[in-house]
Amino acid sequence: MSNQQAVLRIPEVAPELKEVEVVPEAVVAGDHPTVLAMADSLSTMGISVTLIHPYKEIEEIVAHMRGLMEADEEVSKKYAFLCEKVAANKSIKVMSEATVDDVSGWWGNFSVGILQKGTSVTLKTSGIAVAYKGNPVLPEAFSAEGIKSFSDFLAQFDMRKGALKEATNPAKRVAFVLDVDGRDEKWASVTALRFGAYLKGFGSQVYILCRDFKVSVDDMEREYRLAREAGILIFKYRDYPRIEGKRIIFQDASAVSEKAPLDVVLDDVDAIVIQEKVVPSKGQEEFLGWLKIPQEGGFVGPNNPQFIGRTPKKGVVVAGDTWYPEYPTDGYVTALSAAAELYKWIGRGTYQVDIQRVAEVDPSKCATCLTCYRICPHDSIRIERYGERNVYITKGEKEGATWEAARVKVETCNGCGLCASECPAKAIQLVYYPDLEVLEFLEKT
Amino acid sequence: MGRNNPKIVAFCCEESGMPAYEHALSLGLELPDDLKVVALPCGGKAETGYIMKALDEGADAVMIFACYEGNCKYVRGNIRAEKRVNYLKERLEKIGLNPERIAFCPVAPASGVRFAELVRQEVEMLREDA
Repeated sequence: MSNQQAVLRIPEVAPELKEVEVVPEAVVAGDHPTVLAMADSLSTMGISVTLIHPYKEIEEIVAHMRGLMEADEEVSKKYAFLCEKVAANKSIKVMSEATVDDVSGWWGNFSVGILQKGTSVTLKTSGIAVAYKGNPVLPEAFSAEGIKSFSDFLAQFDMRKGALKEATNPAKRVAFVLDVDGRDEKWASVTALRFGAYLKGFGSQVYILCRDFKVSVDDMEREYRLAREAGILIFKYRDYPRIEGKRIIFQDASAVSEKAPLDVVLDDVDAIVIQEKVVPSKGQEEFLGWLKIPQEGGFVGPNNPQFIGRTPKKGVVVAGDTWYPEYPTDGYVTALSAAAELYKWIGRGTYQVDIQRVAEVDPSKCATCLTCYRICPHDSIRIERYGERNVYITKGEKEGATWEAARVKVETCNGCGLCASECPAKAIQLVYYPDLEVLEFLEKT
Repeated sequence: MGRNNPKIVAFCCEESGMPAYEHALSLGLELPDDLKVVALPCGGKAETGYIMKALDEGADAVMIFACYEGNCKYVRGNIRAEKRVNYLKERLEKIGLNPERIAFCPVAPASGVRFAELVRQEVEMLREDA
């Protein structure tokens, strides 16, 4: 063996450049506080921003933020300051009491339908930044047990420092139950730990029950250690805990083997805090659907973990709960990186796109089966009219009629070849790497 | 088809499989000479046609080296590749061939050792099968 394998590399074709003009303007929409961070950041970069929010006054964006944001005074202050800054910024056009009704188009040429006080307006824009708020619900595992509403238990959504202090005054036993719906979300661990440490200061006994405890936020490793030293008990359970009145029963995952399960019972627990499940709002699901952005459970984040705030669709960035439910400090960072990502695509004015590293459709072979349209992760394939005849279907047989076929938008194509590999009629080829090259290489293997 | 030197065609994703192959070379790990490496822009580009052509032209096994789930640069190319491989395995079984002759192997870009290990396992499997 001398490592002399035959290798076929992707050919390096000299780029053929096409100039694309992009006007530096963006629409920032949504009801999550991070829209303020994105609008402010984009405006600082010299992009003309239109901010669309559903409230009467811009201050309400911050007033309506999720309960967990109040966990951190620093974050609250930061967002309040941002709100003032955006309100004072004359170059940001604010549309209040408005919601996004429809979105279509591509990078550099989006059209955003806006519903404002009953009238609909259409805006042309180059880029879109969106941050919607999710809705908290009780995890299914608990609603199955007859627990109907948050009022039965203290859900984290309703958790304010004051409310919890009152509920546990004088010092009592408090249990935080996390990860019930199986999704491990960082913000829940961090919130539970911070509130736990706060209550511990008043002499309460604090238990945290979780599947997986995540503390990868700035400074949290240290706070975690301090909390453990102060006596906060953190358990990992196997099946989700049963709650019977003031008693919690669960199986400790770390202490027992599966053959000999051991029930751990916490008695006389005065307050139980259940982590709520954040579900995407209707507007968010619609928005992602309109732009064909791949989502998992209604969020963009888990599908796309490498690039924070980025979507596969060029010119669209997301933050807030549209990205993923996050701890507020993390959410702020996501918003800033989303804004920076959008600047990359709309801030420079003129762009040069390589039209060699793309896929191309042969309209005479295309059967308009929409496979490529469905598969393209960047939503850069549309069915358009060509002047030539289509072999497979006979559309528009009237005089002067044209034939329909798929068409790849070269400006947004990344040349991954997924459409080419799935096309049943073999009508799509990568311009820089045609099938023939691979098939010739494979001959006489 | 040599009993001891099975021929393998490896379709490698440009983002993970190719760097892993090159890493294996740079570590000086042993790879069979009868390995044919085809770089593709994404694991999802390994078409049914490519895989069947390789088997048709005399390859004993086809391996698709793509990214781990959730790591695809093009969001779900690796998932599509895996589904395609599973579908082809079913077809191979129906026509009476060993479905293990097609393998979907997720690798990380810096795991040359894993790359070499997977190829070695495939060679061993084919030798036993022959």
